[in-house]
Amino acid sequence: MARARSALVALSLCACARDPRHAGNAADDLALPQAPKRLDLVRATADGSQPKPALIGVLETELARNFDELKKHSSEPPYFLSYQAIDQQSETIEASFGALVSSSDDRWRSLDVDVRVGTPKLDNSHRLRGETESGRDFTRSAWLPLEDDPLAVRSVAWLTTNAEYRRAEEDLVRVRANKRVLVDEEDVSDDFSAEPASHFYEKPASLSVDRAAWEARARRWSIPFRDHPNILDSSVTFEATAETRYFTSTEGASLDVARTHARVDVTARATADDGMQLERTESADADADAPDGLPSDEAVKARVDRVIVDLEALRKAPAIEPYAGPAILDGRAAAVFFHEIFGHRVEGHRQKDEEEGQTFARKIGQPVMPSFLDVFDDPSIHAINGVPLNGYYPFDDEGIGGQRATLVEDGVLRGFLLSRSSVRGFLHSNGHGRREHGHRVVSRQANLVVDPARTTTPAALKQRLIDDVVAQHRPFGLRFHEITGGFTNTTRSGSQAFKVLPVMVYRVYPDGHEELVRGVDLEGTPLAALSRIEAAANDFETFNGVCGAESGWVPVSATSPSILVSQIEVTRKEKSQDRPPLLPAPAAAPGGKP
Amino acid sequence: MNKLRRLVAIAACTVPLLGAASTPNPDAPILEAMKDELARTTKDLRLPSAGAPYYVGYWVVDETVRDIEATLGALVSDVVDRDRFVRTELRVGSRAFDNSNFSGVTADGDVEGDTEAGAPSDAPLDDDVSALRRALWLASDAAYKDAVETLERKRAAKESEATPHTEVPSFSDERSATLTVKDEPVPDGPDPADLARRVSAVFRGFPDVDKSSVHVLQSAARRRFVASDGGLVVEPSRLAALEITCETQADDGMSVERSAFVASKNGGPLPEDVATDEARRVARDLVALKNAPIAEDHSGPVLFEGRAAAELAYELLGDSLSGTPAPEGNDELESALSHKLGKHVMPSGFSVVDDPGLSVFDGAPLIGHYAVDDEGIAAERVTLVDDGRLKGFLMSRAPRQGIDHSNGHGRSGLVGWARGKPANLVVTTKSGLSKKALRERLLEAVREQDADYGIVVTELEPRTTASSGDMVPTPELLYKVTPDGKQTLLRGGELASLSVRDLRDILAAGHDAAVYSFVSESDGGLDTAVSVVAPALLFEDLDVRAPTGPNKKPPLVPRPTVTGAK
Repeated sequence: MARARSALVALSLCACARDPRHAGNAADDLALPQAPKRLDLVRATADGSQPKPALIGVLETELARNFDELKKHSSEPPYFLSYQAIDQQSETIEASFGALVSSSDDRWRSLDVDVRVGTPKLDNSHRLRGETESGRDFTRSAWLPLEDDPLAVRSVAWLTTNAEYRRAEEDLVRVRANKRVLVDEEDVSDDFSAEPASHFYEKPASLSVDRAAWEARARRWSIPFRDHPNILDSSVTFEATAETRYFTSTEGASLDVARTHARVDVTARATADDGMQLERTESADADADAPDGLPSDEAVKARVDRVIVDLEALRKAPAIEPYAGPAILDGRAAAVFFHEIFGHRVEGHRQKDEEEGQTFARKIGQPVMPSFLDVFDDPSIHAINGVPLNGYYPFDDEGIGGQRATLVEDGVLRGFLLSRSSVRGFLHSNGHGRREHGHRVVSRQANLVVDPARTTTPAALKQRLIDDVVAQHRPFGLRFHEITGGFTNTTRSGSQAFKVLPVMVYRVYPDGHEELVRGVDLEGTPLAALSRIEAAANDFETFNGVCGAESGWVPVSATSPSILVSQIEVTRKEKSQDRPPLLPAPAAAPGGKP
Repeated sequence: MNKLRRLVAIAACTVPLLGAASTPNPDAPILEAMKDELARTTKDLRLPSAGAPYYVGYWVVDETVRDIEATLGALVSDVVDRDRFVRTELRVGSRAFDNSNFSGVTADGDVEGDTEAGAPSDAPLDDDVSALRRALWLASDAAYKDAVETLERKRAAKESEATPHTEVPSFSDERSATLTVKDEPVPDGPDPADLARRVSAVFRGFPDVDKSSVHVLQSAARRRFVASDGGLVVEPSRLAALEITCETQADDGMSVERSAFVASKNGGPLPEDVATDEARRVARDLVALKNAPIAEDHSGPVLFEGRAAAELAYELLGDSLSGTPAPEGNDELESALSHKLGKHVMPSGFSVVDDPGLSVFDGAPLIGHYAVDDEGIAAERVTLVDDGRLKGFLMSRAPRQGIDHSNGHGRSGLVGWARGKPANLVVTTKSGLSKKALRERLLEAVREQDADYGIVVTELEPRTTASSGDMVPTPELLYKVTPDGKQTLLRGGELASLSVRDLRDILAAGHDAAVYSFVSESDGGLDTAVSVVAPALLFEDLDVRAPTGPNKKPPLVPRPTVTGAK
């Protein structure tokens, strides 16, 4: 089942009966004061003219040998072969209540082999209709030696190529049989687009972490939780990675993409008196290109304090009752909302998979959201308004340059996120073919940006929310500040709904005061939710995270300003029946290790 | 008397502890945190509607594991993991009937495991008393709530039984140990990553081997135990082991595999010469297997030699010798030998002992060594079979009919209640034959049965879990021996099922014994390292089956060759 899951925060709008006063496209008749927006897109200037890494040379030799031999000896010769090696080095340090919990490093090198038999028009990758076989989402991934020893590397590549070739052969037989016995497909575009081959060599990524210093920092940052006996669990986690993705194909592509990344996460957990589990994770200002670029001590301390204050407040906050009414989604919450309800549904492969809901497959050229909204996804952007983006890459996992995909212009659907699997009307990839090692490439989001043509101030947006509350005779509206995750079902077999799990939700009363509530779930359907967007502010925020779907976990970002929706529906969250701990927390020992 | 003894013992163990605080003791902050929380838990932890815990034991286990893999002379991974776990053993009810050893069946018919009980949780790596106490506090809270609920369910399950189990207490009346084992430093050997590279490079000379890998596992652990009965244990342990695996395909596509396991003495440096010889040996075996004829269905005498005999002995005896009663609600874990005490279970002359105190047998390292088991009970050498008769069981603190006490074989790994399990299981016989005489005895049996040939198995596929008896391992090396004494390697033969009953039909055994050791993957770490020693074993009549199932086609592309030395 093609279910797109995401670690991103997600949010939802309600698809129930619309308020007649808000029928039609409300955005155009809003009279909100305009305020200028600032959306500085920084494009990276990656240096792809470094010397060719030795590993690529070794892989190319084996790739060419296998391609030639298979063409000579097999009845169904491959028309395309590619090798992708991913070399990842990481350091993870976690501290809790002032003490180190873990400190480890890891290094691995994986190999994924793609074999295509048949023709670009119809090959072994073609979707099998009527068969749900999640095994097809996975490759026969192998671990490569960390050292570039030719015999050791080539032996692994040879066996992996053999395994993938055997599977490709079998799959093609099934694809042809499937096509013969079923009705004609609606979208007959090619399985593999023709693209130019690139050469691009970056210096392989390396990591240098002063572990003792980061351990000391993590310990220090986690100390304030000690003074809060109601917080049962908490952690400050530092993670740094250096990753180089090597790619070579029989079309002549030969490249490597190097990336370093660092992140500090702050998270804590408590139990409310009624047994509800509460967790607060602060994801703002968490990411940097390298450990040196991470936010300052003071910034992390501020995040720790925010988590403590919020969690203590959540414990005392009233549990929410089911409710429908107007709401504001703050920037990062709105960004996740778009990632879940829109981004996953414009992934190219879903448009031709007839088991998919295909919410947008036939909507090119038609309005899908209010006319003041543009949405695009651009892997080539490195930072927005100074915030580094998690979804940046110069080339995707099929060796295609990461390009801006224009998705929505003036509210009208213009395109999809595309890998080399073509979609009706779109013959070429726009560099969105992505995967985690061990998975087959499909089109995925990278850096999703919601860019309204008209923006107002956050204050005016809130005033408009209050006006809506009064007009709809509601006791209050809602403001969603932070969401921990969500998921969306995109297949036809299930309801086309999404569900997201917000943490920081406030009731906004007509007099303007706000009250935190807990235990909120948000559900809805995508088209209805998008049509209810009324206005956007000029306060862009970026959510950096990782997103999981058929092709595994990939780093992504989503950027949006706060948005106002005319109606949203919330339900009560599932609740654990566990009691809080019976004994009080042990007294914090004075003079614990700083 | 008992009470007095306990008081004296508590006093005895309190004194050295107080003394320890004034001298530099690396365990002091950890033991302090454990004792602080133990006191709070035993005194104050209770729900209004339920009783307080009557016994609490804490383990804080440090483990540093270096895991290295190499192939064809190149490193594939080299990871060091440093972990500290907290494990709690918390009992509510009474010794007569408590929350332990229960796995009920839910309304859906699923067996509810007891794996949640005592499940380890992460503890801070720093010796920070307040952070450690916090970890113990949360673990105790979860364990207590689980214990109260489990006790209620166990009681309900018992009340619904038509014929209740025989009344044996849940928990033995004895005291856990007070012992600090000194850490014996081991000499530095060569860098294990280099060792893995060098041993794996042996396979560069064997182009017929498709895939090979050398795994080195080096681990150092420190277990600390504090219990509400005054028990206090600190025990360090080390392990170094090297595993070699290789596989290839025969021309007909059948996959063939070989493996070897090399352990060091007391966790010291791994013997590189032994490892290199083993790598060469398994590589040669594999090439021979690739070209060997296929085994056919056959019945007749089968001789297990070397490590195959030791592994088979574990397979048949390992779980059956456990004296821990089956969990309430799950009779499947009942030992096949549970009603055989005093009866013949093997031919006369055989004896079986288990001795966690051994670390070497006839010069070969044994890895099941420990001083104190996972319930804090000092390990004892136990005679299980004497002159063919069953004399005892491997006991944890769960008593059984006729055996009230543990003999220090309660092993849990990191999860679940401890059960009686082997550590260093040693099978011997008084009337062992020389290798040559045993082969002659095999041929004699072939002639007596008018069979065409006999079978000799020298290697079985290595085990990956500590739980035995559920399946018979597949032979890696199986030979047919014709009456003229000619030996032919066969490929793909499988053994039909064997059970502990078959041990009574052993025709003859060897004089020399071999050691088989393994580390259970499922539980991880040192706690389930096991060694087995057994002589060659000749069975009168076993079934061997020809291989079944389709083979994968061999690769179309020949393997890569790279000229020039590494």
